[in-house]
Amino acid sequence: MNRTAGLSRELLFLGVLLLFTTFIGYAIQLYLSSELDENTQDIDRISLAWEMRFKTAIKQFIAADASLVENDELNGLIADLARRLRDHIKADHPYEIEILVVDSRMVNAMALPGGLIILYVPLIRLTETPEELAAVMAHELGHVIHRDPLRKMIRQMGIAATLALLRGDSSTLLENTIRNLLDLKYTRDQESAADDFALETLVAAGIDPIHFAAIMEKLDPGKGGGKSKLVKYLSTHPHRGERVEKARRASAQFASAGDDSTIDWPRVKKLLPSVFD
Amino acid sequence: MEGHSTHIALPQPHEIPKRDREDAMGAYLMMFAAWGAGLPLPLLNLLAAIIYFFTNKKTSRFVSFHAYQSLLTQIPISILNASAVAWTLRNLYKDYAFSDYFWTYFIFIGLWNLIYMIFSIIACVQARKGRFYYFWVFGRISFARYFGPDAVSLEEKEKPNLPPEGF
Repeated sequence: MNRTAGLSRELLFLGVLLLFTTFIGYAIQLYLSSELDENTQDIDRISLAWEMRFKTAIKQFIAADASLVENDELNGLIADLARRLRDHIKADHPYEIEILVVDSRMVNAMALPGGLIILYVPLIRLTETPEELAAVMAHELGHVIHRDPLRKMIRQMGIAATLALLRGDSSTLLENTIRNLLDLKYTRDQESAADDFALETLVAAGIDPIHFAAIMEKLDPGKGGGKSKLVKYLSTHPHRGERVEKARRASAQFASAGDDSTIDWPRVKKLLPSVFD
Repeated sequence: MEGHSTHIALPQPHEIPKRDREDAMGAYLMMFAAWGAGLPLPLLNLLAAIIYFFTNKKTSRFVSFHAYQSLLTQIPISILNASAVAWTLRNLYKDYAFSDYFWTYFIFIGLWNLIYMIFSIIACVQARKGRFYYFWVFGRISFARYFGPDAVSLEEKEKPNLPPEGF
């Protein structure tokens, strides 16, 4: 009888310890996650006016430092795509979305403060349909709407330096920051949220999310990509497999109206600067 | 040895030879060595614990008790660690994200390994002193196996050594 009671007591202790460690594990995980998002409150201290002024400074910097593609037809088509997406954004936002096409060797796209999105020429060249480009733009729009570019500035520099910069207290800091901003990474959660936003916006705009899966596979070809799995894990973007899977799930639920764009995309791509330029 | 006792009389520290104490301590120390070596493949240290147990099970009850207790405690920890390794490999191989659930589980496993290590060190020190140390639940199971009623009935079946007739 005593033996049974002793065993019961020890099993109870073990169970309590099991629950306790689960709780502690969860609490530590929550704490570490919240550390990453600690700038959530700081972001509200940055006014839209400051952000817009910063956007103007960035545009000036890019215009002086980078090679902008100024083809009216190309820019017009891209602006149309952006408008189509913008008109279907469900969240309220104050941004006038502006897209710049930059001739560079990077296969990339980037959201910057104030609603500025940069598309690099090699990325456009990689797309096979305008919907694939729209998928990339929708992802970047997600960063814009979530104010992620500012969040990453705060994460990197701290709120004090960010505020000083946006107030225009330091021109040297401004230039350095813009340069660094192009290299900064978003957190994995921010990337996932931007993916979710993109899929939702694509569906609302009548674009099949399968195009998102297609461009993700092109951007990160997985096993043939050269990077080890561990390196990929250590990078901030969510895993390609998961992103593609998520897009395919969204596509499966997508009631297609069969209204994919009629734009002659190969012809549009010929408007891009040649690789030999 | 009394006929109706519920457990075999426990050897006291001064009765336990130094060799047995060291072997009992080794059951936990070996686990630490295998633990370090086997972290990438946690089932290796379980295998080491099994080998140690079978190597020492016939030495003395004191050593067998500690070896068995070390082996039993190793089982759940090895399963937890192996599942964490499997989950990590699956994420890396299948290109899945390391979700919040994963990190919660990972920290949970870390805590249990820490708890396990602390209790094993205590058990190790106690074994070296020739003392019994009982882990929750597993201590009882090990004790029952080597000193409990079943061990008593087995011992009672053995023909005892007796002095020459007339002494």
